[in-house]
Amino acid sequence: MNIRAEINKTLMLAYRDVLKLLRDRPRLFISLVFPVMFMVVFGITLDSSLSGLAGSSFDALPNGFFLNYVFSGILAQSIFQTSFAGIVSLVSDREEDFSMSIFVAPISRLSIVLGKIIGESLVAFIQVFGIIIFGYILGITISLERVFLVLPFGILFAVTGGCLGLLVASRIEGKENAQRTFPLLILPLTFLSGAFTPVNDLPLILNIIKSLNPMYYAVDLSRSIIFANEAGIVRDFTINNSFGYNLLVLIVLGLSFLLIGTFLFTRKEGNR
Amino acid sequence: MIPAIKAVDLVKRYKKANFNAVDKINLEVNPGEVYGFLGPNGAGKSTAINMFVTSLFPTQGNVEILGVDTQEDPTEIRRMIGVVYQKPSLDEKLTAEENLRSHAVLYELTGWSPSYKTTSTEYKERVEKVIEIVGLKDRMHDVVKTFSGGMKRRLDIAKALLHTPKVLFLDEPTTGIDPHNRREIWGYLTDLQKEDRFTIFLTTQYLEEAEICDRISIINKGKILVTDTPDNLKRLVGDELLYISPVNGQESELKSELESLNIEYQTDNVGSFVIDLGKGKAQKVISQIKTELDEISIKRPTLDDVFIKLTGDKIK
Repeated sequence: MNIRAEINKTLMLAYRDVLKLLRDRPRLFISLVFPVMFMVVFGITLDSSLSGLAGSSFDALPNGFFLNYVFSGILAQSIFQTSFAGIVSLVSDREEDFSMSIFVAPISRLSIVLGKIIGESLVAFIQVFGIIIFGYILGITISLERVFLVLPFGILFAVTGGCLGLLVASRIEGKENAQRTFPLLILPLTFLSGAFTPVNDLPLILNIIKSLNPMYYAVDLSRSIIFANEAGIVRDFTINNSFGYNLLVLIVLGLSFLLIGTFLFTRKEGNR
Repeated sequence: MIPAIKAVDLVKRYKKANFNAVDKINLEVNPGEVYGFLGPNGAGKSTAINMFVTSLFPTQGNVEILGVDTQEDPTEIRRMIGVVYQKPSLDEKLTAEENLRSHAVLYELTGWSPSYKTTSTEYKERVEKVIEIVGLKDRMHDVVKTFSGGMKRRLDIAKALLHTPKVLFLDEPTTGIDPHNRREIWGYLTDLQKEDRFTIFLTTQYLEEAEICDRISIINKGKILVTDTPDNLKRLVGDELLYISPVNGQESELKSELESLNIEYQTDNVGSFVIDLGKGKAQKVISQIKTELDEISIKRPTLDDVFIKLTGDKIK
């Protein structure tokens, strides 16, 4: 195998994903609608309804806390989800557009997977810049410096999301199944990630799912950077695990998804 | 001579299916041949082609493309073949050239490059050539979304030919394309094929499309029913028939004239005289007839007739 040629092919696949997004204004717009809607729905409504509850522990939280809270979660959640969804689409890609030809082209299956993961990660980053801008428009009070500190770890969120997507893609047959299964997976992952609402004290079963949910560690990692300088109730409320622990778990989960996913995906190829 | 495509006892049964989509197919396609699978929807044509192009593994049996087993070295085969699917495999938001460029990178004609200008000379020459052949040179830098169905199909074919494949696979390439565009597409393909002598394997439901093949296999329910040249297949169902009807009231004149000329005939249910031409020419029969004729027609057997004879069913 010619390594340089394979790198060229991988780059081409990634570039193609980005180009397709940039040429698709409606898709760019829609990709921002949900995160912004969640920031408004969860951030602003929680702020106005909970923070004012006199006598509750919410009372001690600073003004506008929930908007910052939801923003810091969505930052990680949206990168993770975009990349996850992008890789799951590998299943339906077989029946669509240029992707159909990729599967019968002389390119290693690993390069297809890597190109897609890199491409979808870039797509996720483009969307995140939109989310950051909207966050400030809505009134988050997090310093830009803290936000930028999270972004390098966004690569890890994207890769882990992509690798989980690969694992899922390797187990699903056909476009319809992929479209049906996707919300069944992404919604529990999202709601048990703590991105929108706290997941600190959960019943046992939900707690087990949460502990296996890579998105939870991504969200917590994002918060362990953004709220690192906080103390007291804000810190207790936002950060569950240490930065290092989150990082380690994400790397371990990401790597295992990548290995198992690539193995299953390449094995499934052709054996339909 | 190594066959372009060789299938031995090829079987595909999809997971959870209780029948074979492809059921013990054997075939050998010679290099430079135009070979077709003709059959109705669900006959197993696409399943077979998917096994030939390495995107599906056989349940039993094996396929060799130019002597290489599809399961042993799929990458080597992928380098040598071009594939055109039923649906155009193009990115609609990208330009014609960008689609071709993506393809060229996959086949190592050029390195990855974000702009046409910085691509290799080899690539530029090849792109200009193929895009000229399919008549899209002036639309080269336009977004594919603005193309008509026929133009997309032509671009798709240009893409499959870009890397000069040795075997070109076409899975119902002109489904949904109007007859004018269909003829044009086959024009380009057969011209190019004469020049480069690549092998063409196609599947189709259109009888007229099958007629351009050197050999056809008629396929139904996963099995090959018969393989031969279009002409030989048509001979299976008989000769050309000449239908003539005299002007009103002249039936008995025509009858006695034919009898005196020793021309055998039958009459059909609408009163036409039907003459089996055998190896003869219609011209010869008609030139002898003096009775004034109202209608003359020749019915050539079609592949549809062959299919009906073999399966008792129409193609569509």
